[in-house]
Amino acid sequence: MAEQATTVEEVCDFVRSTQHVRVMGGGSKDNLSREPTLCVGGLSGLIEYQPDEFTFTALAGTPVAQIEEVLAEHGQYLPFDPPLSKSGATLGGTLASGLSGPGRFRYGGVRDFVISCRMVTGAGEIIRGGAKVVKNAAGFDIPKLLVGSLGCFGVLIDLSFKVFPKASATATLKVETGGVSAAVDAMHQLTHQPLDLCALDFDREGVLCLRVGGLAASLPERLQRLRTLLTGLGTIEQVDDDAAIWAAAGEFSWVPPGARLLKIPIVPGSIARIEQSLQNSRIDPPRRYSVGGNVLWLSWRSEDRWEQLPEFELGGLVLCGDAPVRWMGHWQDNVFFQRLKTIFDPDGKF
Amino acid sequence: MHDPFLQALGGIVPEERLLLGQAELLPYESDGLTAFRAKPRAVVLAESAEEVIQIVKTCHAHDVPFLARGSGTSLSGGSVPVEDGVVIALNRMNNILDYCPIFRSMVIEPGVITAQVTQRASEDGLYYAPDPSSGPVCTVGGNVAFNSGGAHCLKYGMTSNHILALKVVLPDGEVTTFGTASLEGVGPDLTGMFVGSEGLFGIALEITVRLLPVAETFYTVIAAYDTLERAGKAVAMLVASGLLPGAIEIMDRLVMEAAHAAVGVEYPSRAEAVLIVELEGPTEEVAEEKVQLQQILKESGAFEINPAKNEQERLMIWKGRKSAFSAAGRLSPDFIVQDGVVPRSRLGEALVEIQKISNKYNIRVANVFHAGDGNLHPLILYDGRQAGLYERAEECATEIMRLCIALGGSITGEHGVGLEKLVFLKEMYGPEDTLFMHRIRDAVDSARLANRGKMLASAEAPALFSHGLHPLEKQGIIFRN
Amino acid sequence: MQHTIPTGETGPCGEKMAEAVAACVHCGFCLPTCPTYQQLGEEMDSPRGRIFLMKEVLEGGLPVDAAAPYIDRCLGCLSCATACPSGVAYGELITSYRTRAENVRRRTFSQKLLRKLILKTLPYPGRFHLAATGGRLVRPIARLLPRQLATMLALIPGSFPRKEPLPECMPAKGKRRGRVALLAGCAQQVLAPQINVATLRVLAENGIEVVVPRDQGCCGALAAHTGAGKEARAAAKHNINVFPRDVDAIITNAAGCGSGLHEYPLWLAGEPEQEAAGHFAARTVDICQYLHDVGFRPPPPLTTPLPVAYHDACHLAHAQGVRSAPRALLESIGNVQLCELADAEICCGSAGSYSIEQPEIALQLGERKARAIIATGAQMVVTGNIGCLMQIESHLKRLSHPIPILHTIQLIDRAYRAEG
Repeated sequence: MAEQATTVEEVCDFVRSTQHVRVMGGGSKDNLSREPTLCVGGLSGLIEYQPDEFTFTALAGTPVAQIEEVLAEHGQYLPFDPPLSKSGATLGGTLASGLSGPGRFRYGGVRDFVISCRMVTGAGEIIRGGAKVVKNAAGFDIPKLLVGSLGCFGVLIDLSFKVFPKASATATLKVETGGVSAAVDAMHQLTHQPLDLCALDFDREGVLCLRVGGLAASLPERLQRLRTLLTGLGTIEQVDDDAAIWAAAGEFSWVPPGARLLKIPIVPGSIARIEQSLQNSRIDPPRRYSVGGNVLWLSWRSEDRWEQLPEFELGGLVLCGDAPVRWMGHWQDNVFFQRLKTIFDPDGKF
Repeated sequence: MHDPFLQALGGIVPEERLLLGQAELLPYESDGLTAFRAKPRAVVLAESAEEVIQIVKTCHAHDVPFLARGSGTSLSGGSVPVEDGVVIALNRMNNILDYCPIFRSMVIEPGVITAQVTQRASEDGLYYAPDPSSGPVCTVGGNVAFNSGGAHCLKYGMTSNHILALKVVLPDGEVTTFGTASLEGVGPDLTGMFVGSEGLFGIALEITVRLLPVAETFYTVIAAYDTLERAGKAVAMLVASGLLPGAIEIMDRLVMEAAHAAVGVEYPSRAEAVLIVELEGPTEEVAEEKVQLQQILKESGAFEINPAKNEQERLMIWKGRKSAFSAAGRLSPDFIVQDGVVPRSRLGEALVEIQKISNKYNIRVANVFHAGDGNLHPLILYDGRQAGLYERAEECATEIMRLCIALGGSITGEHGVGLEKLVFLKEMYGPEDTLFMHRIRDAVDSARLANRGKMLASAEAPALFSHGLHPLEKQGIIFRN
Repeated sequence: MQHTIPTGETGPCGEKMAEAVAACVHCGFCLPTCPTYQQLGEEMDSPRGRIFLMKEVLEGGLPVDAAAPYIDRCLGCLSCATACPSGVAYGELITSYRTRAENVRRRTFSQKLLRKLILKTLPYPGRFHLAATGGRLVRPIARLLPRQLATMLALIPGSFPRKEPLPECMPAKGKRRGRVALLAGCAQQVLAPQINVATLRVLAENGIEVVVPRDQGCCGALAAHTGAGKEARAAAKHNINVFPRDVDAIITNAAGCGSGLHEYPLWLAGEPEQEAAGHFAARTVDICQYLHDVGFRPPPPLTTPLPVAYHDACHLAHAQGVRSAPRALLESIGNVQLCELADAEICCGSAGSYSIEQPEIALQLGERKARAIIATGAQMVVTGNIGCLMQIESHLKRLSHPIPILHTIQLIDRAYRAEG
């Protein structure tokens, strides 16, 4: 049974008195927060938000959805489209698992928007890194180090982010290219153009989703131009509810219930190889290529044997479902990581 | 050569690339911040990653401090040698190792000049977004070490946001890699931690940068204001409007004069301050945005709004802006460039305070800054040949720095702490967090060899100085002319 | 940059040198434009590094001889001065410094010999012709000579064009619009006398009367830029005396000489002639700039399109700021298609006697420039300086691309004559 912490002091006390600390926030990524010893869901709330400053600070256990709601009231948003926000993802969990959604394509990921953090180290000390301004080059960039760290350096207390003004209008075109390889070819034609695409995803059927955002007045013209560019690549359709399809993508609604959900970082050049190895394994898992071919979201159903999972060069993260591991890859062997770990977590609690 | 250490270096590089003579070492004694100088024991002109690794290993074996130097343009003293240490010059390591236009990434050696990345990528309609003013001179290796910024951070972030992967040599000679060519990864963002570490974690040997498509249309405008404060308020209005320009910059009267003398740009004659705003994006989008922009500028009290009529005029606007620091040499024989950050919504307030401080010390302060980011660059002008003026300028600078901290900002937006802001790191982060940074450094570099004395003041250094000798001068670690 | 240069003890130009050092903010904007930094990649061989070294020497902290190799390697192309946002008068600094350093530095016997040879022959057309003829005779034994002498011999053309005696006065064609005096140059009179002839004709064509003072001598630039202050001052004083005052301008058609004339006030700092030197310099103007300013009658178009690469001579572009005038003149000729060179601001390596004193770097730069020209696909090269002309011609030949090369004024002259 996990201990519930609602104050910083409780977190510090818990860390000081416990040998094994595994943190859970909202529990939206069940495989990552498996067997938690500390739940920080109660460490929640927006601490500071100045709309005209375009920055906010919130406790790590604050649900992302709650923040997005407040931001939206002021026409602002987190441009990296934090995934699983409707499933209860917290700000801290999003940062610690290093997750960014389709919007990462345009302005950057969670790493590019976090500006400051407070955390409790393995020694039970509270430290702060970064500053609550959009530009800062002083000292080591601790907030960035924590992105994707899966809680191995400490317990997050609060986080500050910069945010952007939200486009007043958005629209999405779907192009049925006929298959993954045709979608990849189409993508390469598009990524060099100054189209200012907000997102570029495609699925295993080769249906390309292109999102455009901006001023309502200029959007129709931009869409028209995009259509012209896409001519010959497949049937083009403008989706009716653009917000809904991206929200669904962010919640991975295409993943069958109970299936494992994996995040596999890739380079666009490796897609052909991945497709080939999936074909060889004779498993055709539901999947979605996101961020212009930089991430593969893969669903590995419970009936598919774990051992049949292809090797992925850049490792992977198993977010949800029942899996024998939390991640794949060798980042823990990195000597720089190991040296940092001795300072953040001298007793190996995390 | 009887010194076994120098002998060992001589075994790594040929004689002509191991500089030991007085005339050879002198020009390496300082960087873009001439207030500080230190004598290196040797300068090694490295030509390959393998040489750098061997040099670092040798330094480690002999317990000799070292630092890497690109073009020596640091404005915080970041590449001032460590006294009696080794300077590893990387400017000759300037090869583009791999360029993949289709995946929008490039792998380069650390000595590649920043502007050359864009130059190479432009054939494919791509560019490298970070654009420090010294872009045509500085190296990407240096930008990585100091997480350099530039005018276009507002929309695209700093250097760190554009570095995908690194191959580095740690301070004891161990080689490791972080990140991949993918935009995403698994595990802690070690790349992000290394960028901006001011050389304390070692030396980047190979850098993978992210490239972006060049915007289709730019709309760059100079808006003239009768007071600096009004220009500052215009920035707040712009930021709050929901527009996301590529850049928002301010230059005051003095800086305009200097830039005009340096590159011949014309500014509105009665302007006390000008705002440079650049919109960029798809043509249709910019066409709509510029209507909004003009509206806001008019409402904010701009008495003249001059858009660049063509690409040449646009480049001139930027040339003038980017020459500003160096051109300040025309305003005054000596000056201190500051790099503080304040919350953007408090820009107007900060400008009024800076003016008060300037009056109080009776020292001219010229202002040029990345306004959209709240990144101020007050240029504190003084004549070091007049007794007492340097001290007064330092006090004035200290007060401005404290103002930034008090407003909840940062002591440096893009130049780094280096030597110059050494004593202020603790003021900004407090003793515990600063100590924690010391511990991190010690874990990575237990011998404290890599760029020793930068960013983190040695434990024995006095916490603060307001005038007189810099603590490091008292210790004989650095000296100035 | 702070300094402690004792301006009282560093000669008449002490104050000027100190000012230049003070103006340098060490920002490094000069690095990418410096040919020697590009080639050698060392801070000592950059403008910023050299300013630092000169400062140290002037302050007394560094022996002159220790700094000498790096100061000597400076081409004096002044590309750095163009790039400098802070307005460092680098040219004034290094010229004054070289003069000052020359008095104290130690040179080896062969260095001294070479220097004498250069200074006593190049500035004198008669001697140069004689020496060059003699040089050709000893070419077979060049291998036995010191490297630099051998290079000097290699630069001597196989044959010289015939001498072209210049009239003392060339009347204007049609209505006279102006009257100028021409500096005929030394090496140019031997190597390419046609340039002066073309200059006279083009000026006449534009209604300008030209006088060519009989007693004029070398401009003194070669001496000044190698630290021979005495010779430079003598040359300056002589020319100030012999050139008429009642002309609208003193025309130069060799960039190096033009830049030298502009430096007369600096060379004569502290001398009684300093003021006169100021007036003299103020009246000095490059031929292309003059034509552009007084209003130029465009020649008829060429019969066929001709892609022309224009090479900016450093002493025109950087030292005198003359860039657009020659281009404008050339573009006014129909069918001339101007090609811009990559890295146009970088020196071709000629730089007066530099190609003799620093043959390796001069060779690299010459080759680089030739390649940049070849890359444009131009069928003709034009430039405004005899030194560049010789250097580029020889490197184009070495790369087996003997593209014809002319002085800007020669191409204009040809266009007019096609009309006649």
